[in-house]
Amino acid sequence: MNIISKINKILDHFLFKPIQTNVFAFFRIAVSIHCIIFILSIYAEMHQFFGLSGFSNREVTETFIRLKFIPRLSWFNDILGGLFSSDTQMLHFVLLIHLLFIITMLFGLFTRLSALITLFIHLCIIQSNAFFLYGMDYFTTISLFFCTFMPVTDFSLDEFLLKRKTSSPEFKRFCIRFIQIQMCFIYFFGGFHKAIGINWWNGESMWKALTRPPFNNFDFSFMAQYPKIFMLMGWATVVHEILYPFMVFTRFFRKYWILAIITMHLCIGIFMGLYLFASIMIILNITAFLSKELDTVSCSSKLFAASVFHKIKQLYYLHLKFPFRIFKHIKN
Amino acid sequence: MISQKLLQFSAFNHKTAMKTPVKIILGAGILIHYLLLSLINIDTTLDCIVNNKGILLVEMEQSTYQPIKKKLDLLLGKTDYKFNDYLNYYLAYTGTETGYGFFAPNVPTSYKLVFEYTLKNKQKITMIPQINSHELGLRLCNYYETIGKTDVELLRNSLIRFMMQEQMKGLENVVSAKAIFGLVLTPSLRNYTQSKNTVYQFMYAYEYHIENK
Repeated sequence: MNIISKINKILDHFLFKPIQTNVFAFFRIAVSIHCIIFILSIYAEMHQFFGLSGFSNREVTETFIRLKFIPRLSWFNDILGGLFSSDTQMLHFVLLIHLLFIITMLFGLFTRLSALITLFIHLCIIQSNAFFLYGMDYFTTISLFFCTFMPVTDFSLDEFLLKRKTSSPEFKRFCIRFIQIQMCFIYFFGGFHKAIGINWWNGESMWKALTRPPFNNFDFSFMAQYPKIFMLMGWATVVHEILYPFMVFTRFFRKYWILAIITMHLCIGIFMGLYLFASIMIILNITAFLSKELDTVSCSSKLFAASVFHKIKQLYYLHLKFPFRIFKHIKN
Repeated sequence: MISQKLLQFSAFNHKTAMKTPVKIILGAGILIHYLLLSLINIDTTLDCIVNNKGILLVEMEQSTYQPIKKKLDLLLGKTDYKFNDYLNYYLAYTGTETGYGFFAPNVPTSYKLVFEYTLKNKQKITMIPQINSHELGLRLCNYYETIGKTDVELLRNSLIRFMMQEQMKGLENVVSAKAIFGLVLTPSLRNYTQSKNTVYQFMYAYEYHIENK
């Protein structure tokens, strides 16, 4: 066997080794819930940040979009502007459409189309005011982009009602690898950038991250007398992030490393108040590297649900006879 | 264990195996995507080093990096973006247009913006921008960072003016407004035991006469 065919075989095994997993259903549902929370959290004050008259002016902020065909909120204004008496109303309408398609994506009805429209509206919102963006927006865009082509139709209404076929196991492996490599890039470069700065090594950055407004959700001043704790926390962050691509592909360290990273994000969410950033990172980590564990949990919960269902059926069969018939009728 | 075996069994018994041309296309796609992502991240890493923000590689000559940086910027369509429009569209639509150096190389400093409004009866009211939503409050930091870091005076002035105008909506008979923008310097870990006070460092101030607009 020559080198090229060997490389081919290794690559084929790495990228396309068949896998049967339900992790993409989790991914779709989790990303949808994340997006719903995001929409609800900005709904009331949307006009302040993305409106024509608020803390910033959309007409001005959109001039910073370099390319002509990058989605923006003024496209909606051009089409729907005449239908609403105010810009705020128009923005709320856009958010409601966004919410509608996120919900259809959540339930998996016309999943791909819903994901595409959700991605489009999300891009419209975030691109319209680049001054307000932070990491979470980019990760949400990446996740929605994944939803547009990955096999996220498991446990969906598309599968149940429209009888859509599930994707091939090879494609599922490919998609998992896609997310895994993306995560490796995110953490490796994130860690490397941190390693360049001196303050991540002497604990100052960790201290600052926890005490500077608006991230000072808790008072950590009592810990100032133990500066070594902050130093260790800084080191742990840098080391875990830089070594992420190497450790997550080893059987021995994978679970520990992912759990450590998830714990780090939980801490970011709780102590720094970046709960949406934390949630999207945890979702991406679970999807990329804990698919086996998630499948085991879902299988055992399925078995548990089936046994509960069976018992209920035995006890209340007469009462549930009619709903069962309707259910079977819909299913067929 | 049983569930895992069942999953594996069903995986290998799937009827439609992926064809080789499809695999090649997908392989090429992933390669291009991650090549682009590598370039973006190398570019942002070089930004970090070139601007002397770091310590580990700061000793090295800038002249070593500048030519690579210029080539990368050209390749990614940063300097001459008409050259590489399609690439930039792809990066924007996939959310990969920036690197991943969040809170790096150091955690950024906080800023504060204070408005002082003078009413017709010469009463003075001091206010800071109020946001109810926690999520949007976090975004306000980025907005302040743009105001603090931009070299374009017109942009800084405009961004502050928008905030002032929004804030002023609830007030009547405002004659003039003053905006003071500065850094919030929280005590460092090393000096916390000596001084626990937060220091405000003045950066910019603007005065607006409302009657003249």
